[in-house]
Amino acid sequence: MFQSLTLHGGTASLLWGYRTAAALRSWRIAKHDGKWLLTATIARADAFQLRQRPLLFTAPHEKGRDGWWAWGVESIEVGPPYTSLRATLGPPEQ
Amino acid sequence: MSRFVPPAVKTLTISHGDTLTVKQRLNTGEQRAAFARMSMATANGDLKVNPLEMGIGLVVAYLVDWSLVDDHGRLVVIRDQPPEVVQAAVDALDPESFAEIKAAIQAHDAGVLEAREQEKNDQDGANGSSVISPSPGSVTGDTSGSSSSTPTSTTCSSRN
Repeated sequence: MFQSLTLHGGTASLLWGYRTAAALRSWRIAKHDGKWLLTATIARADAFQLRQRPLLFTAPHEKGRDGWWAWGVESIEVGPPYTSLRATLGPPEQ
Repeated sequence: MSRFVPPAVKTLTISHGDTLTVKQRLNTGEQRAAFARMSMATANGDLKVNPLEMGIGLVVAYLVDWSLVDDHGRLVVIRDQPPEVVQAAVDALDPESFAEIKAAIQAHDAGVLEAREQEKNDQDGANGSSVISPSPGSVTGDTSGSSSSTPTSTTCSSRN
């Protein structure tokens, strides 16, 4: 069992239902002490939707592999002026 | 009661067991974006609805996902794609399939409008108001004819 793990990628999204609450330019997820922590740069954000719950972080798998990564968002802090964010994620969804 | 439209979806079933996932209801921004896609500028700079774009505009406005596959049996992905990508996928359909999808979404759109009218009438009945007139500009229903119109109801509706 990994004690820590880091994933990173380019484009990703924070979704509220089917709506894109934020389009992300780059992201990094680190698992440390059982918590999944997301840091990301924001390409575009909807201020209203980012405050709604539940939010879902999704990112495409790496090239050559279909499908998406998906994590529920447990808490989120958005840095002004909506250029970056940090979030605590739940366990990865299947 | 909230005035905000939640991102709820509904599944519509069409022929051959295929399904469409559509927005339960459009919010203000989604409706405005749909009208913008359907509109064209006249010679004097006014905006009017392009009748050729109304059907596709309605479909793209509502469509969230579907089960349609290509000739190799692979899902044609439209979920979380920009409207241009969704439109390109819909435009690649055979005309009969597009007509079926458009009809299903038009029926859903008409149902949304009817439900909202009923909700308003129920609320005003509870508040003791007099009989409510129907909202102006509903253009749902039969699609014979091709006259242009500017929808003024609270849903996107198509006549063509």
